[in-house]
Amino acid sequence: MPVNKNGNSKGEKKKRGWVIFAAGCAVLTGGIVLLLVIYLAVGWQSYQDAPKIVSEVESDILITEEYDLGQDQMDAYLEYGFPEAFRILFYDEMLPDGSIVPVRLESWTYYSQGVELSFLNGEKSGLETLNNPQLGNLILSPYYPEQFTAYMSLDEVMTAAGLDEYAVVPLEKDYLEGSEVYYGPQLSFGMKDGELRMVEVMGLTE
Amino acid sequence: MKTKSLLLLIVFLGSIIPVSSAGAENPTQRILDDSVALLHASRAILLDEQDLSGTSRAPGEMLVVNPAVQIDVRDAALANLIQATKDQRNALNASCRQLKEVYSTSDRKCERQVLEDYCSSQENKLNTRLGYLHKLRGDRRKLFTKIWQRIKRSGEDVWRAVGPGGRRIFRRVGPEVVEVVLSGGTLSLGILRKIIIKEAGNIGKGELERLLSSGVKRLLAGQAAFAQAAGVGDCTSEKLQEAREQVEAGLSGEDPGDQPDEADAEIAEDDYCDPSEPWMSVDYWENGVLPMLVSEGKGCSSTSAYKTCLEQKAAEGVCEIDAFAACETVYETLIPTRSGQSVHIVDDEVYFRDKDNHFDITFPLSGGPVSGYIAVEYLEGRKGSGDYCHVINTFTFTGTYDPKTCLLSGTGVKTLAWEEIGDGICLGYQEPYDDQSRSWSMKITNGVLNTGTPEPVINISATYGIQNYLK
Repeated sequence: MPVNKNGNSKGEKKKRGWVIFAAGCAVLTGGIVLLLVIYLAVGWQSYQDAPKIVSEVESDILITEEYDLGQDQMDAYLEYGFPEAFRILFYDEMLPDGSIVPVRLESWTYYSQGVELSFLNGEKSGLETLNNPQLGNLILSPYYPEQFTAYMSLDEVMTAAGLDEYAVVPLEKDYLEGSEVYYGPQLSFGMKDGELRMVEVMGLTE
Repeated sequence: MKTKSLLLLIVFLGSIIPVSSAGAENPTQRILDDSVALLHASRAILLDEQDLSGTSRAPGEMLVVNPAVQIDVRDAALANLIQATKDQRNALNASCRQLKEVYSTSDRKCERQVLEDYCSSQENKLNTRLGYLHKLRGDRRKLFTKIWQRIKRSGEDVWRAVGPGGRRIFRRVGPEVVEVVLSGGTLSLGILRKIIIKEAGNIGKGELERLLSSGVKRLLAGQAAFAQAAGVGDCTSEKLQEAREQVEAGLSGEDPGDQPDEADAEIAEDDYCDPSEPWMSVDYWENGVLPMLVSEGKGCSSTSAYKTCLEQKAAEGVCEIDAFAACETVYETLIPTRSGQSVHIVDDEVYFRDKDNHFDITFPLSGGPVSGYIAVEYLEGRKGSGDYCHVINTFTFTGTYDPKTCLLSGTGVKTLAWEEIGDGICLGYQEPYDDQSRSWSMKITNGVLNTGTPEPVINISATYGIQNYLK
């Protein structure tokens, strides 16, 4: 076998050349695959973060429990009927004994009667007389406040509100991390860390 | 060095790989402010209320989108969120004002004290949020970020094609969301319908203010009760925090000193910033910050206070992003050119040989037509002879104002009239004098209009701080 002055045979040299070539190809392929993975991962994140309409939603969750209205709220139903629009905020507060309790802050609007009521954990906390202009024919809301309870998951909200389609707008991290706002017919709601924190049912006219 | 680069690469790769939110696993602090922020965000998106400081729109005009500025729905959504934060701050101020009035006439000292603390801390928090959002918007306009965004969008297109069905990405957020709210996305059903809060903005605004006010009232009552239960006579936020920590420690048996507070958490989150690394420099100001202010229509304002604030924060070792947040209140004082106001300067005492002269100029702050007039009148004569030369110079001009360059320029007609009382007094004034057409220009620098720059026709070198002449 021919041997050069360094003691390497021609065959070994050829073999080493192939090894270098194969290693180069492997590095190149690995690099391309890595770039592709990064590209797809970035694209997926961007796709997830994009405001979009999601349809054909199916939820197999069964909601059996609704919120128990307070006595003041039941009185309001009797006196004014179902609210034409309402907003509910859910959050926690710490009591002097250190315990954490959920707060349900609501305002119910009756545009046609010029009245707005507010409730804290079911108790009436305010009554406002509204001077609303002529608004036209109000469309009856398909929702009522007790359908929504604190910290529901998205699936639970979907089932409770009977939605099979919604629009979602993820919010910037610098605004409120881990949060999105959702829209459905006559409805918007906000989730943070997968929990329902805000619901608004809007009044519509024709 | 190599290790640092490798770590940075790992951090970078880690940041782009989608992971589920860690917040979902940790016990969440569910505060009123977050729920209110969600409500404001939802409203701003639905009503398509956008903070337009980066676009050129005067009231009543169609939105003119600068292609270099607004690139996609995310920018629109970001503008919605900036506006939502501003709306939240306005609603907070309204509630605070209203509650302060209530408490100032009662003997609820503790509530009043808590209210003062709460309002100022919330306002700071919202200003900080605005600072971050403005910074984010500024960053997105940088060339590298734009290229990066394009790569992301093309990756997004792949998933749009092969991703789960039943998903449609918005082209325009606000208007499409309205369709969903009106009819569930089937426009034919909702075409005749109207959303009350969209039709009558005041109704919606009132609803939010009242709801927030109820929440704040409840919060204050809770804080006051808490203070009483903890035996704290002084209701300042520090004392209340101490009392709260005592209660928490009593419940968990831990030393409250060991609990990381919110500030620590923020520092931990931002620990990539090395405070000893200088980031503020003349170059950074001129090539980084100033172009951003120009793109937001604030470039012709007096920016020195903002610059000073950033320099001061940098000297204190505050990280770049936090410094922008801390200087947000100063940023807010910079007049945006899109504010829809116009500048109208009238000066009857402008100096040229004497003070009995006239200068007036009018132009829209957002850019557009300029019109004005200069009249300079003076006497020349021999002392004590009773002979004099009465000279009247006028310049009637029009032109345009470009807020990007802060330059006003155009053409005008210069007239000269003179009357001689006596003989050989009006020397050097030619006769006949025909009206002459001349070009002119003036510049606004740091919020000051200088008539002597760069091309005056009649040399009145007066300066006017435009902030004092806004209409």
